[in-house]
Amino acid sequence: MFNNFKYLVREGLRSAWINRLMTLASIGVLVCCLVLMGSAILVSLNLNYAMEWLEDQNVVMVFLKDTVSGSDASYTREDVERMLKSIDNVDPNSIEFVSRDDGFKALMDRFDKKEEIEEILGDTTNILPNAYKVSFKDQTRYEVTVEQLKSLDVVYRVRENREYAKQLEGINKTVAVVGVWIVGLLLVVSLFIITNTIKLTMYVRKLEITIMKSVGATDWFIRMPFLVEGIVIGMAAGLISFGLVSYIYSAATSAIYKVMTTGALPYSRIFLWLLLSFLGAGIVSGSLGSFVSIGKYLKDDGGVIGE
Amino acid sequence: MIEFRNVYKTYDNGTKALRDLSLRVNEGEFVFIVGSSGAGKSTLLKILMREETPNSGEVIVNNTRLSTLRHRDIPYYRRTLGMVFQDFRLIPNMTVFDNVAFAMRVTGASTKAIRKKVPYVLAHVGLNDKAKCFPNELSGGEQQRVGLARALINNPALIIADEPTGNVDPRMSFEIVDMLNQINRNNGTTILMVTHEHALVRKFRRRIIEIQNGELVADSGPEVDYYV
Repeated sequence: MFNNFKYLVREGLRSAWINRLMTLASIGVLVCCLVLMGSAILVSLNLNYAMEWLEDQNVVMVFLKDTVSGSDASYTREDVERMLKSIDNVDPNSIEFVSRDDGFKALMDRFDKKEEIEEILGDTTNILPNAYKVSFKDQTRYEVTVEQLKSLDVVYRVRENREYAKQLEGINKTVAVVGVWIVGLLLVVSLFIITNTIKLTMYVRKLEITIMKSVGATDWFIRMPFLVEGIVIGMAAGLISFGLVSYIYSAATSAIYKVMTTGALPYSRIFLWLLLSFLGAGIVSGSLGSFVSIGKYLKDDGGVIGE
Repeated sequence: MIEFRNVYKTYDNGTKALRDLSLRVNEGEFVFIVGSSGAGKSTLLKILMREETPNSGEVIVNNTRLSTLRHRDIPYYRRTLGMVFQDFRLIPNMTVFDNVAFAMRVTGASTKAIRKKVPYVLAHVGLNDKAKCFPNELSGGEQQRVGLARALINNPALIIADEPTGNVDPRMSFEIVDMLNQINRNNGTTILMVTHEHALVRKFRRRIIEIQNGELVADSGPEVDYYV
C-alpha cells in the first residue's frame, strides 16, 4: 500500500510539472484569492482588537472651554478639579491635567512630517484646548457619568472611546460584508481555474485512465494523482499567500503604530494561526477542485472498449 | 465460465445492439467472435467488461452475476480479466517494463513482486531485451506483445482480445494469435478473441461464434479443435 502511495504521489507531482503553465495560473489565481481573503480577515480582526482595546481603556478626555486658564479666565484649575471631583463616579486620584501644549506635542509626535503640518497651521500653532484625563470608578455607570461631565459649565466636549469603538464597529461590518462578497467571487473563480487545470491533466492522461480502468484500478487509485496535483497547487498558493500577507501585515502594522494609539494585533500572536489557515484554505480548495473535476469524469466517461 | 442468457441491449438512441443473445463459453475454451461492423461484438465486450449493462437477460462470468455487481466492486472483477486492444493502448511515456508493471501497480502489488514478475512475463512474450524501450521504438507486433504481457501479468482466468491483429502485419498477426493459442493450451486460460480476419480463424480452427444484427447466427460449438 505504501509503495502505491509513493507511486501515486510521484505521479501527481509529475503531472503538476508537466502542466506547469496551468499549474502556475491556478496558483496565481488562488494566491490572489487567499491574499484578499486573508487581508480582509486581518483587517476585521484588527478592528475588533482596536474596539476591545478602546473599550478597555478607562480614560476619558475632558476638553475645557477657553474660559479656563485662558486670558479671560473665570475659573481656575482648582475650580475645575473640584467640579470634577463632585461627580461621585470620577476617581479623584485619576484626575490629570493635560495642558494644550502637552496635548499638541503628543499629537505632533505621531506624525512623520511635523514641519509641513506646522507650516500649514502657521501662527495658530496650537488648536487644542486644555484638557483633563479622568477615569471612572464604576464602568457600568459610564454613560451617565459622561453626561454629567458634559453638563459641567467648563466642559467644551468629552472624547469618549466608546464613540470611536462604535465607529470602528460600523467600519468592521462594512469590511466584513464587502470582504465576504469579494472572497466568495474569487473562490468561485479559483475553483473554476483549478477544475480546468485538472480537466486538462485528465484529458492529457485519458489513455492512462482508460488503461487503469481496464486493468481494474479503483476510483481512488485513479483519483489520487489528481488529488495530489490539486493539493500541490493549494499548498504552493497557501505558502505564497502566507509570505505576501505576512510582509504586507508587518509593513501595515508599523504604519498603524505611528498613527493609532490602539496599535495592532502583534504578528507573533497570529503567525501560526495565519500559516495554518492559509495552508488549510489552499489545500481544501485545491483538493475540492480535483474532486469536482475527476468525480464527474469517473462517472461519465473513460470507456474501456472502443466503438 | 461465461454465460449470456437471453440478453437484450438497446442504446438510448434506439440502436438495438443485442437481441436475445444466449451463449456459453466453458473454462479453458478458445473462442473467435466474428461478425460484420455493427453486429454487436463491441457491445458484447462492453457488457463483459461491465461497462454496459443489458436491458434484460443475465450475464455470468466466473460465477459473478454482472447485473448485480456494485460499482465499487467493478475494479476487482476486472482484475480477473486480461484485456488486449486493437490499438495496443500502451502509455507512450512509459517504458515497456513500466507499461506492464502498471497493471500490477493498480492491484497494489509490491515493488519487489513487480521486479520479479514483469521480466518473467516479458520473457514469456519474447521481449525481455526490450524492457527499457519506449512503445514508439517498437514494431506493431512487438507493441501488441507488450499489450499481451500486460494482460497476462495478473494471471487472469479470461483474456478478452478486441481485434488484437487489426494493426499488425499478417506474419505478426499469426504470431500474436499463436501466442494466445499457446497461453490457452499451456495455462488453460479462457480466450475470447473478436476478429475480422477469416484467414486466421480458418488457420487456428478453434470455436467460432458469429453475431449479426445483435443475434447469434452461428456457433461451431464448444468443442475444442472443432475442425480437426
